[in-house]
Amino acid sequence: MSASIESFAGRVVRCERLREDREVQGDVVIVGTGAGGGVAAEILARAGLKVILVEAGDFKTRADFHMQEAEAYPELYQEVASRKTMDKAITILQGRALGGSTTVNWTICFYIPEPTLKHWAGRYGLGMFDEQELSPWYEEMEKRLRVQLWTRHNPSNLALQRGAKKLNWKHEIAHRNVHNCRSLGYCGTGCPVDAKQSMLITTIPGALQKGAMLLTRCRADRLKWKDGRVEMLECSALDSKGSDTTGVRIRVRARHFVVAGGGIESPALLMRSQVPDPSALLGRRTFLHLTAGSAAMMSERIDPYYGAPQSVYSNEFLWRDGVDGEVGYKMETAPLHPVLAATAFKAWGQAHAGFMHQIPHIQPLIALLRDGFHEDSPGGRVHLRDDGTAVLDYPITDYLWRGARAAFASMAELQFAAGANKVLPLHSDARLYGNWKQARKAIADLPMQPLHAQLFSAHVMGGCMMGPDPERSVVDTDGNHHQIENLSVIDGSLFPTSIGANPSMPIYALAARQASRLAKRIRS
Amino acid sequence: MPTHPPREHSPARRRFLQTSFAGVLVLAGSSLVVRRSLADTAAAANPYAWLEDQDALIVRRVAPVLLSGALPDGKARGEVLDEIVYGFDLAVSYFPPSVRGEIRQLFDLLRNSITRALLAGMFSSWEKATPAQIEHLLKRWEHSRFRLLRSAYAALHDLVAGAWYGNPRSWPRIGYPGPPVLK
Ligand SMILES: Cc1cc2nc3c(=O)[nH]c(=O)nc-3n(C[C@H](O)[C@H](O)[C@H](O)COP(=O)(O)OP(=O)(O)OC[C@H]3O[C@@H](n4cnc5c(N)ncnc54)[C@H](O)[C@@H]3O)c2cc1C
Repeated sequence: MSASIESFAGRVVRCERLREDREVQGDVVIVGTGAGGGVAAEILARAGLKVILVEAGDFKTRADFHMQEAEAYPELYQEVASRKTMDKAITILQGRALGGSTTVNWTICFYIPEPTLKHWAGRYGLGMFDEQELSPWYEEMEKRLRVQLWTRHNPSNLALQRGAKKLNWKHEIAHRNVHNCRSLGYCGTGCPVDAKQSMLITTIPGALQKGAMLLTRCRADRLKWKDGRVEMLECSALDSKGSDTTGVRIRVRARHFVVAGGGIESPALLMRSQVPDPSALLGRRTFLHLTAGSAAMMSERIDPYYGAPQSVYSNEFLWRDGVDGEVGYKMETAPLHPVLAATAFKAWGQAHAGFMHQIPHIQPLIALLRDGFHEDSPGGRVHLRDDGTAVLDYPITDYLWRGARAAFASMAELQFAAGANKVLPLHSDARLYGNWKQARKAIADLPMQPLHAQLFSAHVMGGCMMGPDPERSVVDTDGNHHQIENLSVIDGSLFPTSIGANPSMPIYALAARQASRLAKRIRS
Repeated sequence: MPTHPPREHSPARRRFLQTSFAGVLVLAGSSLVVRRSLADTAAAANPYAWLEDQDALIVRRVAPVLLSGALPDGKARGEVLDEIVYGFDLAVSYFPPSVRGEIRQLFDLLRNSITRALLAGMFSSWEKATPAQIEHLLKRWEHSRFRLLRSAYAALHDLVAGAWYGNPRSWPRIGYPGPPVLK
């Protein structure tokens, strides 16, 4: 156990308060403190390297987490939790916080599914990532983050279990990275009791204890490189809201530079820095686990805002049509707090008020489509706006629309089997359906179009694809940039496809592996 | 910083109704520039972090229609509307400049009498707009065949609904008991 983050306040520079430009120096600078950056920081610091952490999010501790959406979304998420793809069709949830998305994530933990690893081995030359290679790293991170099997299911997860059982669909219970969890249900607004083993309370204090320095409200703008080596990272101080720059600049010099800003932001930083991109894959193949939702009205109280958000899941449709057949989806529940519900349901007036009135009885299901396994699912592409900020262009192909339609149907079927009185697919042309037969018929006719179906993502992946071949990947299988020798990427942006399961644990495990190898490399 | 990469996917013409309010405003011959410089000088007196008085008026008029059936009546209503405008403003003030810019364009479009009539079918000023006219606007945008208008609807919807349901005053009305009290 490491001491809590408050005790290291002296090693933290809150850049919104800086009045003058600053220059700092270390052995390694890490951009981003999420799943990838947090894990890498602790390992590199423990290896005796002087680590500098650069984070756009604000310095927060559990005392700042009040289980209020109105506070958490502006302060802990990218773009007030309503980041959109370029055509505004998909809402992307991503953390922008000390601890990255792990500070707001829902703590369910999975491995990279076997079929995904096989697909990667066959298609992308990633055969080194087999079970034998990965399992010690999973083990290490499971211990570090106190991962445990979760058995105290809330009514929402019990409904998923009940429905799947009734239909004879596969279903299992999940692991979570929590300790002394009180089942509050507010993982998404920052854990107020430090039960969630996010980077905020584990690896970040762990790194600070070993002498790391942390810069918050500090945005990495670009890497200055020459002759195949990065010399410096240029950053801007952000104001207290994180929305604008203050004009103060921070320059960071180091021997090695780790980019861990997550999907979208990591490739964007490399694009702004105009690093070589001979494979033309930088920012491309960005995946989302495109997610559709369905709301069931149950007679009993569900209180979908309370309890561990996700603890039961169904893989019934995940691989049903083979790895590279029709897109498969994992089915899970989601926590539903008032703002999330009010914005996910796009009606207005009486229809909206009536829906919100039902909230204690709503059972929300989500289906996460594993994108990237089929040629009709090439993912999205990061663009830079004129001001250098990133936006994801993610065209939703017919292949994905077919998957979304199938997912709406499966969710409704499961919810009726679980005892729903009515089911509402989150789609602006859908109605409340009273039984499965009616729902099935209606869903078959719903127009599958952007801004009709409500689509979400909380799992941005890819954009800095790893692989052995510089012609076909951005970084190598250790995350080291193919062309720039002292630059690595360590986060979810490495994946060549989505993984088909919630990605935090795979990111932790790969980060641990990559950072350990990097530590050796830097010291030698 | 590098400029925007070329948009090879779709010609600008097809895109303007998909992604840019600015295009619509230009086509409508809006006198944006003049208005903006006037607004800049007036900004000091305004109580909001980002909204201008005219924008706040729009939010205040749209909210009771968008949230009809959800807000309290009587004296409380005025207070609640103030809080919704405040919550809306606060959320926008946290957006990065690029997103704030898009919302600015949306308000410009709603404030400009030509674009308002053209795209929202609203021929009166916001001061005089009736609930029926605002309902008409919401219906039209909610189901528009233009993605841009659908996304404008979604933005207004989410900011207004988010501002209300993030407010603890809304919770007893929907049976949400609120976060547990920590001991
Ligand atoms: C609401 C939500 C719920 C989730 N639930 C689960 C779950 O239950 N289980 C699961 O497995 N996964 C879950 N995830 C996903 C998981 O948390 C993420 O996939 C994972 O944290 C991604 O790790 P990362 O290192 O790639 O990026 P992140 O964890 O997102 O961290 C990136 C960090 O880098 C910072 N950053 C980016 N660019 C810059 C820059 N230029 N300068 C400075 N800082 C920068 C960002 O502010 C951010 O803090 C959830 C995600 C969300 C948003």
